[in-house]
Amino acid sequence: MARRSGSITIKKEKLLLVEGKDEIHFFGALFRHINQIDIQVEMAGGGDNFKNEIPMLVKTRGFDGLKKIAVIRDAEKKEAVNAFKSAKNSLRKALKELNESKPLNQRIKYLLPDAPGIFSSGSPPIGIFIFPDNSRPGMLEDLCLKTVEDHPAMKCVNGFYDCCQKLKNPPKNMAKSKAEAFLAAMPRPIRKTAGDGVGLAAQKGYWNFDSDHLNPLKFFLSQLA
Amino acid sequence: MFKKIKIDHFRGIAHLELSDLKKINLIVGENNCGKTSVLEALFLLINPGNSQLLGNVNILRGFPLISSEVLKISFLKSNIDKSVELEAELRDPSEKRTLRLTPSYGQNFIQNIQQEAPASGTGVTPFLGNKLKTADAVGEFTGIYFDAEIKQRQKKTRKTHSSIVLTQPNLPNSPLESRIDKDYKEIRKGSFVSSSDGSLVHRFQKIRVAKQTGDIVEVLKKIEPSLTGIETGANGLIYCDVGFENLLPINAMGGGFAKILSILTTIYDIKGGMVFIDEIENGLHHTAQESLWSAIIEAVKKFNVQIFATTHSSETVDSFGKAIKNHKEDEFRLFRIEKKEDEFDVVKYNSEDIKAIPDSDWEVR
Repeated sequence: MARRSGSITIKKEKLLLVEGKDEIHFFGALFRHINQIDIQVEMAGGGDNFKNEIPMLVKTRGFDGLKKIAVIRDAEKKEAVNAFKSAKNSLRKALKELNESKPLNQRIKYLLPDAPGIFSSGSPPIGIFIFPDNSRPGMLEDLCLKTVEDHPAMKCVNGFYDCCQKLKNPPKNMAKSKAEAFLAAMPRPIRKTAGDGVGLAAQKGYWNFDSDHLNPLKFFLSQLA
Repeated sequence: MFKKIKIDHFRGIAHLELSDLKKINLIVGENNCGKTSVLEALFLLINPGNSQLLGNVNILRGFPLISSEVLKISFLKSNIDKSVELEAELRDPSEKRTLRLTPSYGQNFIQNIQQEAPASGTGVTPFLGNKLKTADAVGEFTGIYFDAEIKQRQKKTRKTHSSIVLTQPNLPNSPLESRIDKDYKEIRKGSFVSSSDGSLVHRFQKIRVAKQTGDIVEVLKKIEPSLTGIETGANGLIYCDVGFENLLPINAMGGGFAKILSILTTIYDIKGGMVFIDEIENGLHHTAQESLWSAIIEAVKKFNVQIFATTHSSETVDSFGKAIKNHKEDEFRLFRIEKKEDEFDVVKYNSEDIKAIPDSDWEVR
């Protein structure tokens, strides 16, 4: 992740932790669409970065003033339950260390959620959502593509996908390739930067934020509101 | 070495605890969160039977006059109705120390002292015992009692009493007297780092007389490898030998060399004790800060001292993390004090956390 000189503090009472820049832009656009404000969205890194980032994050100024905390991660190649357990373990470890660093009277009893998509009953409530749907393998790109499955350009994307499947060395991350193919089929292609494709596309309005496929995510976010 | 400190009703602090203190401790936090007060509380607990230390910390704070108002500042919000309670756990040897500061009132208190213990030229006289506490408790605030207990395992608890007294409390700048238990003897040492040139030269001269400048040069060589010696000139200035035809005045060395030497000479002076450095970044360019920490780490090992420093600077915090990167021993802590109305929260960063700071996006201060 890009270094920002240790300057991030928690300023709002609700925090959404996402993996990277793509998600920051995606949720910026989605929150505007569903008229949800007052949620601080921050990057906590993907993969192992999350495990390394979270101990510093929970100790930063303002963390103990949070009223609600949400974490959104990609399932990647395994079922969502694996990413859920991994995120939960990283949080548990970091919060335990945070409490151990404080005098007894300042410790907070954090409760973690039992399943992805729902918030814990503790104070602050903590929720973990796993892309694309809290169940299957995949990532943000899979969910974005689902929202446009009826778009005419998807025929081009599916044709591209079928063709790729016949290659001796097909793309390693098919969801990313398909998302890029979809965006390439748009009338005005976006000028993307590294690690930021579907996020900028969300800002341009290329994903269908009214799709029913976003309902589980919207339900999760409604618990954060 | 301090392991833990608990502070109640001292200066601006209602209640604060710092535990798991290590060899080098850096305290961060916003203005008026109590960082300097923590250093002062630790300083008082080094010699809890020596009330004169309170006068010393008031001078360090820069209070221009000694008056009852200045003495009252030791108490939370200057409210002398609640006593100051300081408590510390130490190791090597393991012991527990408590220090209670309570106000003394009334003319009788002073008269008793003057009759029974004429003031010495040093302003420090033996303490006369508990009977002073039975003095008239009606009247004006005239000073502070220090009641200390030092408890070591399998040893009898040592109790000492001392006081600090305004001999003429009605004056805007009263003479101040400390009265210390005549049997009180302290074995621990502690000092604040003074940045004045005069005290640096004085400390350096002591090191020269003890023929120990080689130890200091050895630590400073890590910052300036060409350094072969440090000397004092006839004009009282300190000069460095870096292989040029002439010696270089220390202030011409750049990189905060004089500041680093000031800290090192204090560490040397206080061998085996505790050194306090308030706003450690003062007078030091941020590019020199990693060198400063490297020198401190080296000196702490060599001279076995415990360091307590405060800072506002993110560069200082980052450079602390960089400087300890290759040190495996768990001897570093960073504490952030957060003042929330009358509450004080503490967040502790252990050695591994501190090493992660330079690469982290999250604010530590």
